[in-house]
Amino acid sequence: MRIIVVEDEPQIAKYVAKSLTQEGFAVDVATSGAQLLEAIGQTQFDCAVLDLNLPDIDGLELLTSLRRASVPTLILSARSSPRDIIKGFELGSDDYLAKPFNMPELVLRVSALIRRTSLPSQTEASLELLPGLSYDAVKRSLSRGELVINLSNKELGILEYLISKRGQTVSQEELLEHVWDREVNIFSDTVRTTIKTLRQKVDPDKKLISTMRGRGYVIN
Amino acid sequence: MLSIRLKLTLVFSLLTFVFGSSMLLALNLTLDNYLRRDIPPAQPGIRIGNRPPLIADSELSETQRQRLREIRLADLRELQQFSALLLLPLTALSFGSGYLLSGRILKPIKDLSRQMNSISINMLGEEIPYKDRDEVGEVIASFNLMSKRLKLGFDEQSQFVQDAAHELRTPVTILQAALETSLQDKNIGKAELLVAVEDALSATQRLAKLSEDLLDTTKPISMKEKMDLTALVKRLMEINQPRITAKKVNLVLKLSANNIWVIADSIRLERAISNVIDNAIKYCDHDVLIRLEGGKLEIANDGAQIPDQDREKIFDRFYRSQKRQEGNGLGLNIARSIIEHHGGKIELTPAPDGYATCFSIVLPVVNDL
Repeated sequence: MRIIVVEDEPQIAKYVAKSLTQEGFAVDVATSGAQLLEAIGQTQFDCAVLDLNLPDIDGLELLTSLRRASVPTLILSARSSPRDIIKGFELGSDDYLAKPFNMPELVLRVSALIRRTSLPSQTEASLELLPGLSYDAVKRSLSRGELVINLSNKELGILEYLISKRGQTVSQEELLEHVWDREVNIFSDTVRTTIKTLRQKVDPDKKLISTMRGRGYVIN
Repeated sequence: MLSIRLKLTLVFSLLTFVFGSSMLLALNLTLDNYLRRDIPPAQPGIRIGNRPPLIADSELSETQRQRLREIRLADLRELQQFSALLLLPLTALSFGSGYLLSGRILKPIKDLSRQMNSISINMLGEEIPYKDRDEVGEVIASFNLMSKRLKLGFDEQSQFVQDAAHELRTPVTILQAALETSLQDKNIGKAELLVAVEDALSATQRLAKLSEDLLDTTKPISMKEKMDLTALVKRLMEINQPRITAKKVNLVLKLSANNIWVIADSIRLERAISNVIDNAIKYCDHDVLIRLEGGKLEIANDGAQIPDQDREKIFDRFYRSQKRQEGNGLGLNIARSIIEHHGGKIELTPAPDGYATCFSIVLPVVNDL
């Protein structure tokens, strides 16, 4: 899942991005409203972490743009009066966290937000993908019986994204957009390689992830 | 301690009583005097002045005169008794009405007192209504004005504390973010950890400076010393030399050879001027001009121009330009406050050729003592 962190204080952006990346998300950073607008014009993000106090464009205006682009947003702001919080929610934010904040809490809220919006109908604790193979959407972990299967961030990212688009065929470009960040070389074979290693660990018989030749991959 | 009401009552009632009873006494004395007089045979009736008598004059016999005399004495006694009796209600009426009236007049003051007692900090600024523009009305008007002024003062302080708390949040957030993220990363390498520690340290230093500056704005200024502006500027240039060299700033310094004396709180004034010079170096591209002539110090730099709409705001607390640099936005605010305290002025003035921004500081110079 791909997140955009919008924060003009570079040292806050840096650590938020790092924490989210460690959690397995692909993270982009925008340090101004203009940068954000450019970014959401080019990429479909799965979540935004937005600071309201940007120097160039008012945060609440940006919130409206994010909403129009269907990007679920968590507001991270030093403004924490009830009036500000209410205003944020009224304008469509999906969550609100005041500064200074607890980093693990931020990461958990973002994860919950993404889970809520990408798997809205998933209410049970775990999803059974194949007989014996279950995926815990909260812990974001895959297990066979009692044993937790060790997946890399990118493998988990692909699995998570395919599950959220269950039944739909997802192209390589789309996977690249949602699981990798800006730094990736789009001409490399990285998606195909990751699918291969993912299958080796989880689905050697290709029962879970099917290849739709010429179009992409799908989990049914 | 007698209340005003009681004092007013006593005065008013006493006056009324004295007036009333004086009239009564005068009337009694006149009648007494007249009624005891011998009755002349002709003109038996009361005659005031030269007015014609109401009853036609007629001759009275000795017996008639005697009888009339007795009647008059009896009448006199009646009158005197009645007058004596009147004294009591007269007293009661005068004191009673005096008390009531003074109560009415003083009511607004009592109301004012009650309202003043009930005003808490939150209600400051609310006006007490009054109808008449009399002495009491004037007191209320003055009170309302004072109340408004106090509220302005409190609001400003409250705003300041809010702004300060807000500003403190950013370095605290950075501190927390750097430390928590690093603690969460089980595989963090030494180099990365060092970076995080440095970030945490610089955030702490930022916090420390901000706290200092905030406290500074609340400290009173005491001007006791004679200070030489020329020496001050020279000293500040020495202190800033490393920065100037590092940034390769082209510094033009025009000082007079003489001492220029001002009465100052030397530490604070140095701070104020240092802040302005600091800004000039920070925001310049290449060139900085510092010119001291008489009591006027001009500090100019060639960085970005300050946009028109911001020219008013640059002295506000925590105001920072678009091109945000390091610093907490208090420098100019503190500088202005200190300079004005010293009887001086600081303002943006047209910059000399080759420069974009110029601050002019004017301070009252004292002649050599």
